[in-house]
Amino acid sequence: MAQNRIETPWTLAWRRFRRHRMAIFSLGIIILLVALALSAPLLVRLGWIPDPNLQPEGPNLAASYFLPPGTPGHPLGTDELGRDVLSRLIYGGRISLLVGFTVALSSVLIGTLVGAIAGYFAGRAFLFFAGPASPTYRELLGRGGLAVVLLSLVGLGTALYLFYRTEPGTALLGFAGALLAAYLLNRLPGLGEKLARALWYGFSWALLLGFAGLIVDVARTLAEPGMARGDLSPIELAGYYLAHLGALALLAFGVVGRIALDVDVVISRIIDFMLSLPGLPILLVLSAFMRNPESALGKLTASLFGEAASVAIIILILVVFGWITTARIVRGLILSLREQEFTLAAQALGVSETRIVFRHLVPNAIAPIIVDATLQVGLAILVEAGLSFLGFGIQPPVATWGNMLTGAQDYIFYAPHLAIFPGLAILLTVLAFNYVGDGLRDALDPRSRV
Amino acid sequence: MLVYAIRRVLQLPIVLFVVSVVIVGLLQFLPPTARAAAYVKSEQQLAHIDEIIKQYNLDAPFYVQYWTWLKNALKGNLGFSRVDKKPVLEAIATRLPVSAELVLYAFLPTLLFSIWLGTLAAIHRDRFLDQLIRVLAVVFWSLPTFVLGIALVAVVYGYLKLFGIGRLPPDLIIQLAQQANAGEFRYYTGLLSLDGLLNGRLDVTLAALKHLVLPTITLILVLGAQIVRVMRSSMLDELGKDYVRTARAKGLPEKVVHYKHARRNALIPVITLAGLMFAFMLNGVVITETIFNLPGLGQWAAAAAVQLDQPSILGFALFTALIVALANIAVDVLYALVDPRIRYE
Repeated sequence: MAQNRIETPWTLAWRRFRRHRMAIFSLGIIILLVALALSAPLLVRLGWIPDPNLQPEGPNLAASYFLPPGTPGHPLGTDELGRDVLSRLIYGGRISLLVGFTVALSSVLIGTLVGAIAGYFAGRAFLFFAGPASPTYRELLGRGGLAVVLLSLVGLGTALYLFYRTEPGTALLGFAGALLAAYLLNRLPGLGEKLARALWYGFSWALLLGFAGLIVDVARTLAEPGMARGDLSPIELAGYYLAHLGALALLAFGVVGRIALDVDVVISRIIDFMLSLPGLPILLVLSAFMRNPESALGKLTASLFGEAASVAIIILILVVFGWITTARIVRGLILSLREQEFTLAAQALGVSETRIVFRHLVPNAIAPIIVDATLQVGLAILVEAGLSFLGFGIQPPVATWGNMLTGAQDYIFYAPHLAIFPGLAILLTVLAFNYVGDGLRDALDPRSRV
Repeated sequence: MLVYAIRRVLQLPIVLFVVSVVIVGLLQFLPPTARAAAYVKSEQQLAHIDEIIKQYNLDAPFYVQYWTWLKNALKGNLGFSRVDKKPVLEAIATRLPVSAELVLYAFLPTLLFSIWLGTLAAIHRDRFLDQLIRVLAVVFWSLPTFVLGIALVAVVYGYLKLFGIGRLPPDLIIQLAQQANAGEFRYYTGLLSLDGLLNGRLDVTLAALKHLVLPTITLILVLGAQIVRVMRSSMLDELGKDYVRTARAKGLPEKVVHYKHARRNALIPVITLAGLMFAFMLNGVVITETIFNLPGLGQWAAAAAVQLDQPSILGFALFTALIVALANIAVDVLYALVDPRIRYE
């Protein structure tokens, strides 16, 4: 009998995935770990495992320290403070999985967005700046007349106000608001697109003015003490006048000039730069600064997240570096996808660019993105454990696999079980995610048929 | 080609400039008192921190402070390392040989070993050897450096009583320090295994090598796994190409097809990875040196970050950025030398 069951790509992929025995086994392990992590508080309440931070009390404390695995009530033994290792392991798993999933999800979302924008708009320079006397702007004036002038002035005024009269936070919010306004204007029928551009150019004038002002400002502040003393070296004096000259030249250029920026070039340069940074040292620096309770950033994170501040910090830091790989992958995929016929068809039908990117291009790139996300979970867990191990990640008494190992290192010869279990936990979890990633890579590749 | 290389080298200061702006920018998130330490050259000065804040305008805007830092840095004063109690540049100079020795012994074996295994796996595709190599590669790839390091310390050093922790046995360190003071032992390179030979002290060389075995193995296993994976898939790609079929059709022996034809081309992606490995090694070195108690740059950076010793952190970041950038340039140049299809105009 002919099969008339519909076979979607996903059922095919699932069938291929099932043949990858290690991947299925690993998926089982991940599900088990997630279930354990989610039910940890319940297990404590049921009395199946003790509280991870519960320290024994009573006269003979030493007898409950360093209990070997297999002791009744402590299947994996106790640590140097008599705390239950199994319970700490389960609670550590909560943190590891939370960090892993959150980091992977956020990095992949950001990376996909950035990569898709870079890939789709590559080679199409965006007119970032057009001076009031530039041909582009004069043409705009011819179409929109007074409305264009008014909106440009509104943009200029708002931007100048935001730069000079508000706090950085407010300015950022205001900037986002202005972008949104331009985007909404752009969607209006008729003159909408022209007006949005008018608003944007007004904004860009403010950027140029602000930049010219900054140059002069910096030069004056730097030269001021020397000028007052009257011992400015010739080079410094030359620099001082050069800065003024440069600012003037910039303003002159601003009247008639245009600056076109290729978003892809900008994003690619940023990615290149981030890749040239040495990873771990920068991570150490970042986490050290964020952890400092005296610093503004330390205060902010502490007030926002309270006890969980160190978890939030570690997630934030890992995302800062995590989005890059996804962005590179997605950019490359979109660059090739946008050249294919279905994109041309969508463009011919007049589908909006947002829709083309997110409904036509990104779904076609979803397989590598999913694989990348899976691998990122493993990587995030690995890096978190490493940072916590060095003492920069999540701080005790919150138990994580990394900081359990830090403590265990001192008793490695006396109580090796303290190191073995967290070490195995990290290895097993990362291995599971890597195998699932491998399995997904094979399963989601339409060229591999079953 | 040469022009390209020179241009890349000339771009180096820009990279360092941006890195220093980023780090000094990050420093702004710290209160002035914490930052004042960046300008302290001796311990006595630490007592007069308020004057230093005034003297160096530590509550001034970012660009003023950056200018001050830059002027100092250009004069060769990168500040005082609290961790090592000496100027930052001096601290880097004393600690560099320790890390360099480790990387030196780890880099080439990692490369050769993993290229060999990756090729082997690809040639024996889907057979037992391939399966074994793949499983091992995934396991070591998933294994955190510190877990492997601790395991090696516990099992090999602690249980089997083999090899050593630290740079040298304590009594030898004391002996060497005394002899160095007396002028009987000279540090030519700072690499102990080499200096031992140069001084005619085979015992020092042997002891130094003995202490390098475990950290080197740690680095090789963790970093090699990645290269094995890349090498295997790149080799498989090449083996599926037309020129390989042509070579076989000509009746060339399999050995020649594998090693003379396919592997040469398969090596190209590995070159990129080898360059990146320098960066990975700098990461690996931080953890490896902490576990094996080697007084190198990595241990210094970790200690500096714990104590929020900004001059040291900044110095280390700049140094690593320089190394990474140089490695990247080397890779790009090597690329063009190996693959005639790649041209930089």
